Amino acid sequence: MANNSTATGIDELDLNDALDEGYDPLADIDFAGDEDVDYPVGDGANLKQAGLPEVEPVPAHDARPASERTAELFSRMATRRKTLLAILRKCQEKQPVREVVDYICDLKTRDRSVYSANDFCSLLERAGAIERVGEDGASYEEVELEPKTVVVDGVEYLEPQTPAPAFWLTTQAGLDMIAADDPEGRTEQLFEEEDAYLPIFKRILTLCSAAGGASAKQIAKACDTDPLLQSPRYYSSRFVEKLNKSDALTWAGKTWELTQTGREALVQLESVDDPASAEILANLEA
Amino acid sequence: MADEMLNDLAELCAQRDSTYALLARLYRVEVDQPLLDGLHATRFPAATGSTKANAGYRALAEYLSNIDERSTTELAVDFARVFIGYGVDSYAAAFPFESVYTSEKRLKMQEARDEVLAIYHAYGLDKSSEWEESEDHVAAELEFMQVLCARTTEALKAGDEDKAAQLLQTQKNFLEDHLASWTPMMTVDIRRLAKTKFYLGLADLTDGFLAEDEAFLNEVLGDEE
Repeated sequence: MANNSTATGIDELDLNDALDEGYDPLADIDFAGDEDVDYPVGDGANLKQAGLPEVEPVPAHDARPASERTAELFSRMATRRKTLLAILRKCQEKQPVREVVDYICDLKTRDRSVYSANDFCSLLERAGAIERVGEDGASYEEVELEPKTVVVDGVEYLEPQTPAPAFWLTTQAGLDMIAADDPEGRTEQLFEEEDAYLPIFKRILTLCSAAGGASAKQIAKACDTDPLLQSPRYYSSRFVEKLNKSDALTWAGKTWELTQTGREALVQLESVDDPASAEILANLEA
Repeated sequence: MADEMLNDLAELCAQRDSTYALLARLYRVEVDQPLLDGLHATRFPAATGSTKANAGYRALAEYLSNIDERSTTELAVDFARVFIGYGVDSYAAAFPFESVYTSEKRLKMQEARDEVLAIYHAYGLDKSSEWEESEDHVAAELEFMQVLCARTTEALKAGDEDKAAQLLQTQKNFLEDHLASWTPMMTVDIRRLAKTKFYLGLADLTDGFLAEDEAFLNEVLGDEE
């Protein structure tokens, strides 16, 4: 390879000379004996011989019992438990699918989710918690319909047909999940675990017992400066969220409102001493 | 031209307007529930004279005969699969842009886009500020044809034959030089990628209708000459 000095004094490689010399990039590689190598092809038997793990085929569908799949769904979507349970309750009697979709869309206005109404139904169906049924309550039969040929003013047209109406119905696995739901038990457990903050819980429940509920701002004003929440520093939203998860409160779009479970929890906390709660109650009754 | 012939031609252009509008809408964005309900209530021609168009309408009608509340999601998934794709491979989707199919490296915003934009401007049109895709998107080109069909119908109803002829000539030129020159390649990709009868039918309908429209324009303008 000729080196050409430049005005900068840096030697430059003259690649043209290199190519002219018939450079062979494979010259140093020894291919001797490779012609006889028999590379394995075919059915995976050779993979076993190589000591590689066999690939298990993916099952076409989940064969586990519906109760197990449903429990797993509720575990993985714990934050959406309320919505999933509400759907199961709604479908205890068979409901037209469009009505269920509208119902879920309404639920979502108070509990936003990236999952669409159809997503929720698909997930519950896949878990075996709800099933698609026909008007007669029997399993829905998917039948491929053909468009109808009609003649209008002597011209032939294809008219799309409408499939038979479908309904959603909660299965036994779904009914069992409804039965296993114990919001009162969750509230009791919450109060046992957080007994140091019972006055705060009482205050929040009392505020939310007002007609129209209480806003997050009102709750924060009543609780955040309380000495109980200064060390460790907590804010009212933590307690609101715990009450929400226990189904004692529900979000009504702009305010938190008491549920039946919340009303019963408030009765449970009657003996808890909290002057602020008494003052709030007095104002509500005034 | 006799009044009756003008009326017939105006009626025909109005029908072409509707078909271009339908195609433009189906390519523009995913099918939503109101559109799906509207299509389900529509009757589709069974015998158009084009085998491909007939197959397209039949596939659409068959799909629409079996829809349920999951169909909008299914169609949205197929729309994404066909027109958006995934990854960096330029063959991963039927990218609905003339530039992609007429440029060497399958890139957007190439010469084709500049050409069609100049044509739109010549007719006092520009893309809407809400439309974020480039002007050589198939939906924009179909909509341009729709606008010209609508103007032709108006001209014919007003008895302005010269204007109608000029507009028809523009449509013929635009089809030959642009729309019909590349959409057959796009529809091949659509058929490769689509899983629903809906989008498979759209591919056939596009091919069949554009071929028939080209033949119609050649015939009408041939008579005029």
